Amino acid sequence: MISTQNTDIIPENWYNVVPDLPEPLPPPRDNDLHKSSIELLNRILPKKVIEQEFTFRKYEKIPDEVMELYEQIGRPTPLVRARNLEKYLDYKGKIFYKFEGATVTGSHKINTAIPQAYYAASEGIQEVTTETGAGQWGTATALASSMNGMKSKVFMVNVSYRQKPLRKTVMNLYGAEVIPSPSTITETGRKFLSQSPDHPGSLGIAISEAVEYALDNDIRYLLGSVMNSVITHQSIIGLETQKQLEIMGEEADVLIGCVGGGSNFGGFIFPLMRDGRERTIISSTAREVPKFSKGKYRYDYVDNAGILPSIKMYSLGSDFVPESIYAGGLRYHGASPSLSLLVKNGIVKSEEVGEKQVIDALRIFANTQGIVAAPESGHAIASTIEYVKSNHDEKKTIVVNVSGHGLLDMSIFAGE
Amino acid sequence: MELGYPSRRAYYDGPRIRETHEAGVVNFNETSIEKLSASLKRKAEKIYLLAYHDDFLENREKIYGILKRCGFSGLIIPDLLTDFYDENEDIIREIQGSGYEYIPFFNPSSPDRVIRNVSKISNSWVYYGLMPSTGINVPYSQDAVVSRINSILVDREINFGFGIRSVDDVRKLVSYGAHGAAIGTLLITMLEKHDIDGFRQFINDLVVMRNA
Repeated sequence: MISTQNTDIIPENWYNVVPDLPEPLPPPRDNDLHKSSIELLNRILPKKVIEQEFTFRKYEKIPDEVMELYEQIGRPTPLVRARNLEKYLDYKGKIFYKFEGATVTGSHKINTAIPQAYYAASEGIQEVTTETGAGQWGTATALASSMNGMKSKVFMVNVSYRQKPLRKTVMNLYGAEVIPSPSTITETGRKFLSQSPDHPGSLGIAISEAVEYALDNDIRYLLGSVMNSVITHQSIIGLETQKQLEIMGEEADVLIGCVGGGSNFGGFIFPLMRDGRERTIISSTAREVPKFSKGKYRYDYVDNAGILPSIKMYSLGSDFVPESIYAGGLRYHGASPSLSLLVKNGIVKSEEVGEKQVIDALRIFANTQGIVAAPESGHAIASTIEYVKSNHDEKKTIVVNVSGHGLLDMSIFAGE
Repeated sequence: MELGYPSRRAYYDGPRIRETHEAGVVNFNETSIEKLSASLKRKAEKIYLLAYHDDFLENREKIYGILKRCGFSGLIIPDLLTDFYDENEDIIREIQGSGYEYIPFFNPSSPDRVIRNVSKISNSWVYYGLMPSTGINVPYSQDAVVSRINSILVDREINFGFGIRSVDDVRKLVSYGAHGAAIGTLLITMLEKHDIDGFRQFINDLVVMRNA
């Protein structure tokens, strides 16, 4: 026993939604006629991660070593009834929130960083690299790497690097080297810097830099979102939520979460969808990054340089450089293929939320529940409030995934 | 035996086979496919044509003509169930209504219910790709992959393809219950290297294995 947490709530297996989807998931495609970028994954990803990316298995056993680290970083995370928010909104139903901000790194990202780092370390790898937008993924990678005895190098989107110096400090504290992207240490970075020395960067550019660096240095690259294997690891959110709802004798009627690449949202909703029950599922995205309303469902590049295989998803185009918005984690141009498929089929509804609405929602949530949620999660809270306002008299059970805390994002309140 | 209809959109083929498509698109003529199929028919009980969805739709009459003149038993459309899933029932009925077998193509990403539903409306053997693309190498458990499809499709003939690299691979697949294996990249690579002896030896080893 290493803690007094109720570890029975942590599942023994992750859940992979792919075999349960209503139609086949279009597989990744090579970008170049003469070489295979799919096979290239062998050089940058841990073998077990590739296996999990293409597996047909619905359940993947969580290794004991990963299970122990999950407990160390604060799993299971709490599922809490938001009684004060219900009162504030005068809602006749119930609102629960799953709080991923309770992990030591403050977001859901650690759920996949730990297994990926563990698999890399198991192969004898000494160093990993990745990109980060808002900083949550970089923070998770930094800690997971240290916990598994490896060094890490994080390419951080330039605009976030400038706006969030404390994020860099945390990553450094966990042992990572943090480099603003575009950088001078990769060909991709140099290309963008030559176009604009003050380039704000984008997640697509940072991904390209990290992948290039991994290839050049024969190290491993950790995936932050979008891909199936990541969502499989993130299924721990929904699996825990399901057990916690069972303990409380509740069933979810409405599921709400925010979407950047789709990993916290997919990990939250997919396990809860297994029962086939009809329910409302709402994905909340940033109005400034309207991937589901203005993007097209098509094959597109994951990264700007087109090093990784293309995947079929809703996308605004890999060359989309979003505004320097308050919620850096939602700036990605696309969304995971499995989630995109469900949006295309109308199973998941999408909503776009603007900055003012998000800041208002964050303020309400802080006032009522005491939690300063991450700006990204503020979208999910804003959508929850909107849902309640539009369905005031119904008695549904709403569960919202609050994917992280916002204690390092206080600058968004500066103008208030 | 399977013959590919040349395509510029051979998305589910790996680099080697895509190169053969490139050459095929430039050099294709109906006479050559007639000669080739006649030659193949002397060696195989049945021959099948593989055509990508868009090529099939754009050249429908031509392809049906080829199927008829060359004595093909059926058609494989590798991207139908992934990129054009909404159209699958109509196309399958059309092919079968025209007197040809439709060969469903599945892979590890095919959901269980899709495999069951499509298999119900088709009446032939099933083609199962072990990888997301031909000729590439990603780690997987052959045993588990074969067991999975065998458990969903009991008593159905299943032939495997994509990423098969040796006689040993074929032997293992057969031991797990495979009825057949499609080998492309390996043989194309031998031909490119003018390794005719290696090619003959490989075919010979397969025949020896089959007859053992």
